[in-house]
Amino acid sequence: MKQYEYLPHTADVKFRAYGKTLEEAFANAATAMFNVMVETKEVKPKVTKTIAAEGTDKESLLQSFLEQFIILLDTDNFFLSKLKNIKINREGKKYSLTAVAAGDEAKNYETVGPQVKACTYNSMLVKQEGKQWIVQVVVDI
Amino acid sequence: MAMELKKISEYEWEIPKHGGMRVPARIFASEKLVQKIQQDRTLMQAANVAHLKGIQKYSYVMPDAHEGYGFPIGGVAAFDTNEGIISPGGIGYDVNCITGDSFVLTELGFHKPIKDFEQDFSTDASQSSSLLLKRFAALPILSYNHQMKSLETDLPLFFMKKTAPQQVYELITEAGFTIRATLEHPFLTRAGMLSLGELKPGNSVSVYPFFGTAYADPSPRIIVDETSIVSQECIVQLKKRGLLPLRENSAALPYLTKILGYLFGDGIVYFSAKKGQIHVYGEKKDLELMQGDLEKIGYTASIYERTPDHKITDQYGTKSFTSTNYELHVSSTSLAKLFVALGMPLGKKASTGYSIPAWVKTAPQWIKRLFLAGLFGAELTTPKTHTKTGFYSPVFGQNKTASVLEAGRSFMVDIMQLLDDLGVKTNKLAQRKEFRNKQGETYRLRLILSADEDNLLTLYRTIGFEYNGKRAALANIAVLYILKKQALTAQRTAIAHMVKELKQKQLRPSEIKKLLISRIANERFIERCLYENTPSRITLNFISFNEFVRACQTDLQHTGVLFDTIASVTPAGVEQVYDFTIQKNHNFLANGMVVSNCGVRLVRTDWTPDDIKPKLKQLLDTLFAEVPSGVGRGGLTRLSDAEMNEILAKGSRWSLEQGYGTKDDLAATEEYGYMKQADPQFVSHTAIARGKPQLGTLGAGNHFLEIQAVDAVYDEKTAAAFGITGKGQVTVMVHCGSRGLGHQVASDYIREMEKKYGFADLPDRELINAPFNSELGQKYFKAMCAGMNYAFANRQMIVHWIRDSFKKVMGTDHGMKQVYDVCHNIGKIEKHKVDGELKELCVHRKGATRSFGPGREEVNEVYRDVGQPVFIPGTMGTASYVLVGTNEAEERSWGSTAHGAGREMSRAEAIHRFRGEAVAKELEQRGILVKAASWKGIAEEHVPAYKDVDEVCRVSNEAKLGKLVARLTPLGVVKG
Repeated sequence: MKQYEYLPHTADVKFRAYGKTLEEAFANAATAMFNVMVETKEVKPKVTKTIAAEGTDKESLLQSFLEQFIILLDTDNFFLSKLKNIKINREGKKYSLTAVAAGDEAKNYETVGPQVKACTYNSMLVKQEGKQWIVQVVVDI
Repeated sequence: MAMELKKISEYEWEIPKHGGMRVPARIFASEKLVQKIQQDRTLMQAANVAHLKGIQKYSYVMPDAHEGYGFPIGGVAAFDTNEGIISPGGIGYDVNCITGDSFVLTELGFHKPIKDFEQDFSTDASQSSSLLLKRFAALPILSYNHQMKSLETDLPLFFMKKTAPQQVYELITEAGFTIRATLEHPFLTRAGMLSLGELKPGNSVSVYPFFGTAYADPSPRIIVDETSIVSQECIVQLKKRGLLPLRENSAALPYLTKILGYLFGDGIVYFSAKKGQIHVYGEKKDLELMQGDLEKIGYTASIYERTPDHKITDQYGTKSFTSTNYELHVSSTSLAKLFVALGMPLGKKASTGYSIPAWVKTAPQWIKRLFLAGLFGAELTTPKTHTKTGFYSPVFGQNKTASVLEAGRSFMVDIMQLLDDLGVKTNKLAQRKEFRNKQGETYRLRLILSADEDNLLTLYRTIGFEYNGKRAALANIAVLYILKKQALTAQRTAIAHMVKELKQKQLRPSEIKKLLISRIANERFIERCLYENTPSRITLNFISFNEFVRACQTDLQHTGVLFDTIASVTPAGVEQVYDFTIQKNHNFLANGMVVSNCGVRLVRTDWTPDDIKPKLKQLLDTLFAEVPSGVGRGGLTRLSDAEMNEILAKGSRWSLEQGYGTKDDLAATEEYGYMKQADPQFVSHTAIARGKPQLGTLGAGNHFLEIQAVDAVYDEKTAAAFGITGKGQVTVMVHCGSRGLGHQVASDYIREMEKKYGFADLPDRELINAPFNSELGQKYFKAMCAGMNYAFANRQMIVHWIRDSFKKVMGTDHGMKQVYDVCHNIGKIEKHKVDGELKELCVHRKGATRSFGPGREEVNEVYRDVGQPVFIPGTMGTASYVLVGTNEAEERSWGSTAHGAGREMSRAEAIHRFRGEAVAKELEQRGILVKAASWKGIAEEHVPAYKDVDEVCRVSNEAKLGKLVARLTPLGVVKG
């Protein structure tokens, strides 16, 4: 199964990520976002960061989750290698997520594209199709 | 789609107040720029801004405007500070609606009722009492490109459904095209876009006769798997592109089917030294379309032009001639194998027996149609008449050698069967022995389709032609012609009936004639109905097909679409209504929520290009090292929270205190380098954390640092006041903003405003706002001002490092004086005259520069007598301009003008079209050096991706929004 794919978009970057579970789709979305900037396959898992996000629905959870990485990039120059132990909980209308992100400092890698500055709600989609979860995001570059 | 535009003067246009608009919208643009602006949703967005509470006078659009989200980029609006709002992005989507059973034609030649698109869009939608709005791009559908004058495919961005049913009206054209819509729904007419309410019988309205087939979900059945490819290498290649296993519902299958159909007609697949080759013959434009489709499935095709000398020998003799042919070539073993696995015969088709692939025969109708339309694009005769109004039978022909004649016949029978499935009748399968050529005895097989008008309608409306633009256009014209002819015939039949009825009522012939003679039924016709029992036929003076084609082609040339005349517009009850928002290719800052407070700063020097050029490379390298840029490259400073708070409160003043810059710099910075309303306590910890390491960095994307030379001075007196001495003077320009901090401030307040006010009443959750005078509105304003201060401080540090760099390389920074620093992405409190009275307003300038004229107290003292300097940067390789604000602008646009040339091509498209290294090389040949963090960045910002900056500045000058002072051309660029 494809992990993610980029879709045509005008000024920004749009992608879809897939997964057998919502967690897997979210994790692939994070990779897709970093892959805009760097060859994620080359990033080594040297340091780990704890990720926590909250939302009132799946979309705002996804927005908040991806924003955590943008903040990590801006504050700690962090490039993602892989995500571990990603868990999503739901209590009524409150969604929360925890995960451990492994990665490395951005300066150790050649950047391949523009910097992602924000995760938008534009064209955002979180849905289940058959046994597959699909998330779709447009990030501002 | 564009809206109705009223021309006010040469450079001023107006969208009159309509619907919920509180004020009209004013657009400053030339004819040329208006055409570009009309390509996307800029105007609709400007109209939407006019809906906002507290808006004054007009919603303005600057000459370089393009589509944003909510506000257009290049939009200016002022809101009463008591009654009005403040918005992180702008607001409002206009919804014009059509009824749910209206069909929408997709790129792949099938149609769906608009209401069925609902399921293609995301399930969690924002919903309010009046509107359900869903977003997620579904299938590409056809839309009209005003500039290119053609129909093209585009993506629906939003799906909208009014939750309460609306009063709708039914529009019927003479040829019988029918649609039900609300009165506000815009339609394309010869006079531009007009709303249904403005349309009357006799007016023109655009129609698109091709209809396609109904849609059915394709099944997941496998059509090609590994076993039919065998070669491991090809399997890998196909898998890499997601083409293996190939299923009926694979995204690539529709394109493959269309191409396969055409290949069966005018293509050849062969292997030479085990390397697969695909050659296709056709018109250049059509082959380019195929090239685009091949690219969608991951293959690169080349198109070659050939001018061969031909020699054809047939039963009439030998003919020699020269012609220009185009060929598309794909050199790919994996694709060749895939086509063979899909049923494509290998080698010369005339001497090969083959049949229609079984999977096509059992596929849904719309897939069968793609195959046939591709095949017909190559091989079906063009729509043509043999009399004034009667059509020839369409013929599908193929040559076959004697040995494969039977297989050829069975292929024809298969096509007959497919046609039958799609409701198209065939008359006969003709066989003729052809001249003996080098392949031996050949036969010409011809499948002759019924020329019955209804049959032609079905053929051209549901199947039509793919990869054959000329025939597709003619088929559409033929459909319109036949429909018009049938409508007229029906009317005449009705008249004939009436004549007979009136005759039975014992009216005299003279009385009947008096009642019924009209444009479509003359005296002779009435007499024939009275005395003869002839079936009514088309009038002799009905336009011939050839003349009709000529008239239509004039329309197509000028507008790219066909028109029909409106027969009636009548109320049609109350119905559920729907609409789409179609994405267009022109949003530069696609995320409307972002207020990143960016601006431009200009430094003048005493150097000439001759002083600089020998050391240009060294200068750029030094600047690149001194001013950090690119992704994940933190700044040189590590700041404490307390220091950050100071920066947010003090702006450039903080930088000065730290030794970055001079007092003169502050005197020449908008607001003297700091917003006094800023309050750091309203900036979140996260925003501060993002801002800390980025202070003093250029960032990536469209932000840059450029060494330039003055190459024209238009206004010497003002130029002198700005420190610009004349041609050949070197200047340095910086364009950057508040980096991650500004984004985070916007993101935080969007979340807060959502919580407080909800997004239920908004058509889109990003389009959130708060009353300016509310607690939250005030907090946001103060946080945004803090973001501006960060941007001021940032640019101040960069200017300092620019001086340092020049000092290192040139030995001195003497004469390097800041001309000014302007913001072009802000909200500000200003006093303006409204109805003769001075009023306090919150002016939103989103991608627009303030351009106050002489005398305004907000203009820095040093320039108060001349007016505010305005900088309009071009893009890499193009000129930038210095302008000066005017008093007229204060009257006309809340003292605002353009901010930059405005993006015209999508980034993805730019990257695709231009390779970074190649672009840099091209610029170097023109004497412009480029230094960038990423090569991709160079392609993204390449010249053709922007609107013409010269035109934008010329219009700004002519419309008196900002007067031209000087032009600067680039010598060297550092890009993030």
